[in-house]
Formats: sequence, C-alpha cells, structure tokens
Amino acid sequence: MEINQSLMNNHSMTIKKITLCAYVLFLALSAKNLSASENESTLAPQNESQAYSFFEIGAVARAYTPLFNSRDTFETDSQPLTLRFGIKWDNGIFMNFGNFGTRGNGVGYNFYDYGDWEFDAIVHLGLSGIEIGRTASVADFRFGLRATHYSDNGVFRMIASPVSINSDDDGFYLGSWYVKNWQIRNWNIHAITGASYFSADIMDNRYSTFFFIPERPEFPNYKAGQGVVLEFEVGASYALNRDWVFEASLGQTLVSDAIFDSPFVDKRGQTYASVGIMYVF
Amino acid sequence: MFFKKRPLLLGDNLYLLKGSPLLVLAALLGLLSKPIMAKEPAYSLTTKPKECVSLYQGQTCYLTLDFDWSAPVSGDYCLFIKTNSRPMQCWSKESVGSFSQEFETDKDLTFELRSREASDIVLASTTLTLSWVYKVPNKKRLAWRLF
Repeated sequence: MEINQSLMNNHSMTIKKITLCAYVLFLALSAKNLSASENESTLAPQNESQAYSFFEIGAVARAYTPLFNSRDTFETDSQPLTLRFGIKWDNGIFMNFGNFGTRGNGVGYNFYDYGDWEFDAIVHLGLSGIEIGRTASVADFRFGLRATHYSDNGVFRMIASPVSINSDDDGFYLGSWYVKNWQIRNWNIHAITGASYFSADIMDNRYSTFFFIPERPEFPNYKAGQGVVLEFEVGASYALNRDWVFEASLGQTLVSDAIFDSPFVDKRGQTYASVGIMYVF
Repeated sequence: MFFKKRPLLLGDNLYLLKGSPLLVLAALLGLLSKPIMAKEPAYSLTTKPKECVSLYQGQTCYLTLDFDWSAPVSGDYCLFIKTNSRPMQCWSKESVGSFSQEFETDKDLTFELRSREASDIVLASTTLTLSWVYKVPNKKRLAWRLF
C-alpha cells in the first residue's frame, strides 16, 4: 500500500510539473502573440529574420583545479571531438548544444524577440557555476525562464530555473552573466562575469553529508544550505581561415561559505584554462 | 598618351572601353594585334594574401598586404585603391615593383595599377576579398557563451 501511495505521489508530482510547464508555455505563446500585435499596430514590422544556425566540430583540451580535496590539485581533460551546434527557427524554437562544461545545453522557445531584448522558456541540462570536472550521477533536466539583453558588443543574460523535470527535489537555480567582446585587430577577446545561486535542495545533492561514517571521520555531518558561485572568464578567438577558429580561455570561480565549509571541499574556487580549435561549417 | 607606346593586348583591361572613341579604336587594334604580340608579357598586379578573414560577419578585418606588379615596358606607374583618387604609391621609370601596406577594412577592396600620366586608365587590377567565419551575428554567439 505504501509503495502504491508513493507511486501515486510521484505520478501526481510529474503531472503537476508538466501542467506547470504547459501553463508557462501557454503564457509564453500569449505573450508572443501580444507582442506581435503590438508590433503590428505601433511599430514598424520586424522584417529581419531572427533565425540562425551554426555547427562546429573540433578538439578542446582543458586543465583545472578541482574543488574536492579527495582529488589531485591539478587535473586535465580533453574532448578530441567537441561538437557544438545552435539553431533557431523563425517560429522561435531553438536548440543549443555543446559547450565544454555545464553551459549552453538546452531546448527552448523564444516567445519575445524584439529590439535588444529576448525572453525564452527553456529546458536545460546542467547548471552553470557548478564545479568543473564533476558530473552528476543523474542528469538534471530543468525548466526555466531566460531573459537576454543585447548592448554594444555586450550581452546580459539571466535565468530563473525553479523546476526540475526529472527530480522530486526541484530546488531553485538563479544565474546571471554579462559578457563583453572587444576586437583587437583580428582577435576577439571576451570577458565574462557571472553569479549563480543554488537553493538548499540543489546544494544538498552536492555538498551535504547525511550520515556520519565512523570509518571516514574526515567527512562529518554537514548541511550545506543555500550557496552562491561567482564566475570570471577571459578568452580569445581567432579565425585561422574561413573554416577554422582557434580559441582559448582562462577562468576562475569563487564559492560561498556554504560550499567552502563542506567536508568535500577544500578550495575557495576553481581555476581553469582551455585551448582548442574548431571547424565551422 | 601612354597606350601609344605599344599595341594593346587582349589581356589589357576593359576599362579602355569606357574611354573615348579613340580608346575604343585602340582597343580594337589591340585585339587585331593579338596574334603578333601574344608572347609579350601583360601588366600584372597581385596581392598576398588575396583574402582577409574576420571572425564575425561585419567586423573590420586587419592585414598587411604585399603588392607585386610588373609592366611590359618601363614607365611611371601608380598603385591606387579603386575608390580613391590619390595613389597609395608611385614608381618612376620602373617595369616591376613591390609594396607593403597595412589595411583595415569591412568590405572588399579593389586595387589598380595605372599610368601616372593617364591615371584614368587601369592597366591591371586585383581584389582583396573579405570573408568571415560566423554568419551568426556576433551578439548571438556571445550570448551562447553564457547559458
């Protein structure tokens, strides 16, 4: 009986989440229709297509310092076949896939795209700011709303992600970033600064310990609470020719006390560097 | 007039046809003279590189261009950007020349070798092509770096 009750609860939770996502998408569609009618009545029609696509394949190598004290002080990894693609159709549906770490993977619907602003509903995989080199045992698909503002050679982006599609512990994830690009001769230099907030539910799965194991006294009982990660990155890209691009980046993260105090962590942040070449189709 | 110094060749630039009736006649004479003069070298102008690649569509491209030109007879020649009336560089009593210059451009550039005395006549030309890797606007690519 208890098992049946639990299954029913899970079933009911999933239906609730799907309903919530459908409701948000309905609101998104309504907002798009509203903005379209406003544009028709008060503004000049937006003839320029917002569709785009890119596809690239290449090799990237990266070195980073791990957060966890159970590992070496310096690690490397590489992706000899790094795949990236992004596509957005005129109807607003888009897919982005393939950044090296946790950013950039998602499928969504752009319900407002006018002038310097974009608003999307997005199902995304992974959380930016979460530690590099540590993959979750179960992929966490989340649903969120994303806002983007474009300025001269700069982009501000923010995401609020309150729902986990495949986990009962939703948690709340909030991220915001700003990237600025400079052109120095034929080099493109970018700098990113960002901050990510993780609610206690998300933190529990990564930094809390729930049971004291006498054989492992170095891991005392610890409840993490909510946490914040700050991100900084500078990078450079250079067109080797019309097909190949060289790119490199150097980054640093800083974690809040809730993460730093975890028995799994002994560093204030991570440093990483990556270098790669990509073939652009 | 410079073109009187030698018969015109088929390889000579068709800009001649934009000139006076005399020039048109000269061009026709040049066509007729082709079988006889086929072995005479023509005017040439080349650049290295021939293409400048920027990362994003619309960005300015920076490069140093090396020019090489040659003429069948020694004379006074100048190198022009097609849209400019002022020459970039001139040579006196030369039949070959080379030249280097830095450029920054966001569009294709055509360079022309002209006679100093008749600078409206284009003896040879070449075009630097501007191309780019990403056709996606720069801002969209930047946003993709974020999330």
